[in-house]
Amino acid sequence: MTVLLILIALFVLLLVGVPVAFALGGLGIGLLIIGDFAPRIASTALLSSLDSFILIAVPLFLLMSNILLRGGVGRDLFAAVQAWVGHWPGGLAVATVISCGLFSAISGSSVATAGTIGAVAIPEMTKRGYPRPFVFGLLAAGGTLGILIPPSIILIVYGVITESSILGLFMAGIGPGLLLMTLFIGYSMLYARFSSQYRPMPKASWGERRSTALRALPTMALAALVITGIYAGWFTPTEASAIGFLGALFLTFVLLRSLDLAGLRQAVMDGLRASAAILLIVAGAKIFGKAIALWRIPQDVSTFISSNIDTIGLFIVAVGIALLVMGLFMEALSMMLIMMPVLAGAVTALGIDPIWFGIFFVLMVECALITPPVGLNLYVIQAIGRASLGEVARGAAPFVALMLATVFIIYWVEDIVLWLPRVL
Amino acid sequence: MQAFASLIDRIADHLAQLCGWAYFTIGLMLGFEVIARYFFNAPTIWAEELSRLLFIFATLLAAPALLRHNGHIRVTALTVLMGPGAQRLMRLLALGFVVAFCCVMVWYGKDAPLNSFLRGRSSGSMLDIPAWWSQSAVPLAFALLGLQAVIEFIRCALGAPLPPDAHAPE
Amino acid sequence: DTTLRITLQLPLKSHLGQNLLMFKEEVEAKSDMKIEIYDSAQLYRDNEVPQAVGAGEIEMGVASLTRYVGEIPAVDIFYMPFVLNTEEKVRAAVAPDSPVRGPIDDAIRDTGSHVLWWQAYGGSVLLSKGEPLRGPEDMAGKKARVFGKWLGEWVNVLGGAPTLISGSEQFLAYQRGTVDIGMTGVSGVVSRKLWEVMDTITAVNNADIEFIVVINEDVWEGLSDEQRNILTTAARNAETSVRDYMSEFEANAFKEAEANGMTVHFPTDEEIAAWREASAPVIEAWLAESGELGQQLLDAAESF
Ligand code: NA
Ligand code: NA
Repeated sequence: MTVLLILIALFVLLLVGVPVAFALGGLGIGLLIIGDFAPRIASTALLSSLDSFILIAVPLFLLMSNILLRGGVGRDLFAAVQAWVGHWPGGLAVATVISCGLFSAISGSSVATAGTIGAVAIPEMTKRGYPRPFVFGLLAAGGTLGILIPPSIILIVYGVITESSILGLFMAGIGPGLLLMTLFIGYSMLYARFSSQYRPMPKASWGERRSTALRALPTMALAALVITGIYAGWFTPTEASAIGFLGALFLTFVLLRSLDLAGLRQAVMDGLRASAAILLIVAGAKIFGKAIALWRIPQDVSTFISSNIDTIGLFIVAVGIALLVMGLFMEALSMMLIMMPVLAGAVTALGIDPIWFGIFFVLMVECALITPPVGLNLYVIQAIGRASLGEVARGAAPFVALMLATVFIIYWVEDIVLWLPRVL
Repeated sequence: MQAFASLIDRIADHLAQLCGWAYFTIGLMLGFEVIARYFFNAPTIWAEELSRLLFIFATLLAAPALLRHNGHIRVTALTVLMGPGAQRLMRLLALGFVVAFCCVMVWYGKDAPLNSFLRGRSSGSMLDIPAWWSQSAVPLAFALLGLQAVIEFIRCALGAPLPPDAHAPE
Repeated sequence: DTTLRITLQLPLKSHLGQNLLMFKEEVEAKSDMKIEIYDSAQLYRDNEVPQAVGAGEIEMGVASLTRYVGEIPAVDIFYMPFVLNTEEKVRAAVAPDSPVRGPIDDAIRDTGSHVLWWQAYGGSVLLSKGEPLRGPEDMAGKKARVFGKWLGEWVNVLGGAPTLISGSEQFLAYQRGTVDIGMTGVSGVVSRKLWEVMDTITAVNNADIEFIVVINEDVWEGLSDEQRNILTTAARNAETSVRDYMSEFEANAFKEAEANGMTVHFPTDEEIAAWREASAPVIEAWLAESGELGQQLLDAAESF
């Protein structure tokens, strides 16, 4: 009963349009006061959530993506991939998926990935006669690779709230990320094969391949440095974000000279807006989380789940459906911050690997990003492609199906997720 | 009144600029730390702790500017379906809630830094900075945010046009 | 009815958590007070506990003693190199009315918390790869993990580079060579299976790690005499139990580490003398900061 009332109060606040951060924080402090707990807990909680070295990776990875975005790295990357695979059946679509995957390896954000690659790929693809809904759907979905393939802002936040290893989560995201890319590529090739409007591209010359690859090479080297550095323990994920940031700065400002001071200022402010918006929600969720812990809600929910749901499969299906429905209306990160404190106990009680659960959660979050009416990636592509929400959402539907298929595959073959973190 | 409101606006925007460059500075400091450790075998004792301090301030002090430019992440699924009058009412309710939240946060958030200041408590880490430095970020930021929210509330009540939604990426 | 909530950074299955459970059972059996344990830092991290309990945000909490160093620099007498480096000395120092613990408990009362009992966590050991640390010169030029200000100063004085690494990041930091030398309580070696990444323990005992269980002073004063008696008795029982457990556990932990392929080096008297001599400047610096109380505690500790 209490759980229901709290949920209703939260949804009313959210639907009225109270910013998520303050809805969570305000409701949390309200619960503290009503429950006769010290309200000062709220300010301690808020400070404690931000006094975190791991979270510093969030603004730095976002700063890095924004610098690369302003520095036109997306264009170079896409040109190089296109020169190599553009002549395949559905070649441009394949090039788009690969470019999204490559950019994901330097960007922690799905919106940055969709925006960066979308800005160059959408005009190219529509010019070549690909149907608009397909193009938009492909980019909205391709962008979500940004939070599955490391680095990933969402995985960092998940690691912080569940106290799991960021390194383990990053490694766990690689397998499913490649699987999802493969499915996207397979779908694109089939789509082109059976499409009537599709016109193949001519094969690029070796000279063109070499020159475009050369220009994209430093960016790829940076991605490799960041991931290898984390993997080999040269630096922690947070320090890796700083190295990535310095690398991006060097690349665009010094080496390619594609970023000027005005562009840098823009990148800094874009990075700030995105980071602060995310981190304030993390802080608000911490207040809410402590308040419900003192009300013993997670404890009760996990008792309820473990006495009513006794198989992992059933639990995953139940959580999956709940996330799919919530994901229609809610922004991705807020969903995780609201749900995880409640679910964490049950996950442990059922003996589910928290790393696997994190990847499962991210896949569900990816669905949320491209399902209407609320899906950030839909909005980004809508803005870049000057399209209607309906058009983008229609195009994204088949990709939601592919993501759900991935959820099933990783459920049956957990090694796709857990093999890399284990052999580490 | 008008002049006061635009002064607060300017403060919020300038603070946001500072916050952005604070994140930038954190990047430089931590990059330096890695280089110092690997190439000079001399890890610093200040890089991590100062980064965390800057990070707390940069994140919290960006809140007023985000509110002013509608940059906070919100659920708009319901409000977009409403007419302009109802939308204005919803915005007033939301801003009112934010004002109340800020008042409570300032009231209860002032105790910890005050107490730490009076008792001379320090962080106890290697750098050993005063504990109230980071703790004072809470009352300070929420006082500014509350002020901004009051101003936006009055603007909205007086019929100023509703700001467009700036979608902040996840 | 009275509910006392306790915040603990470690999981319930840790020996400190089990010790709290023992306390809870005794208190709940003998009185109508209820004890709720919030483990695994769901409510507070270790470093937030002193202020949270002192200000009455929560009734009770467990914090490592060194978390009070920001207000009472003298508590780090336990981290002063080679001052309390044998079990006899530690037991003498932490006895309820000892001239070392007594003044510390009093000073903590001034922060708004009443100390119920001390939980033993064992002595500090150094971890390395290949060779043990035979003397202070082996620390020079090395990066060493530390977990507090004065341990950091100690490494500094010996010419090493102190690196703050949290308990949970230790394993990776050793595996990846982020630091050359590890520092931890010997129970950490077992619970985190550090033998997978380090092969040598130097049982140097440069510091003694203590946790304390505190209750907010106003809450404490608000209880009846009978309730206070029950809590004090249960606390005393828990304290004896955890300290005896720890002595036995430490001995076994060294055996377990050896069984898992680690070499354990116990420094000779000459080696300890060399360590002690090289470490002297740390104690001087600490005395300058911890004032009269520091001097008083040091004198008392040296008389053991
Ligand atoms: Na990524
Ligand atoms: Na959605």
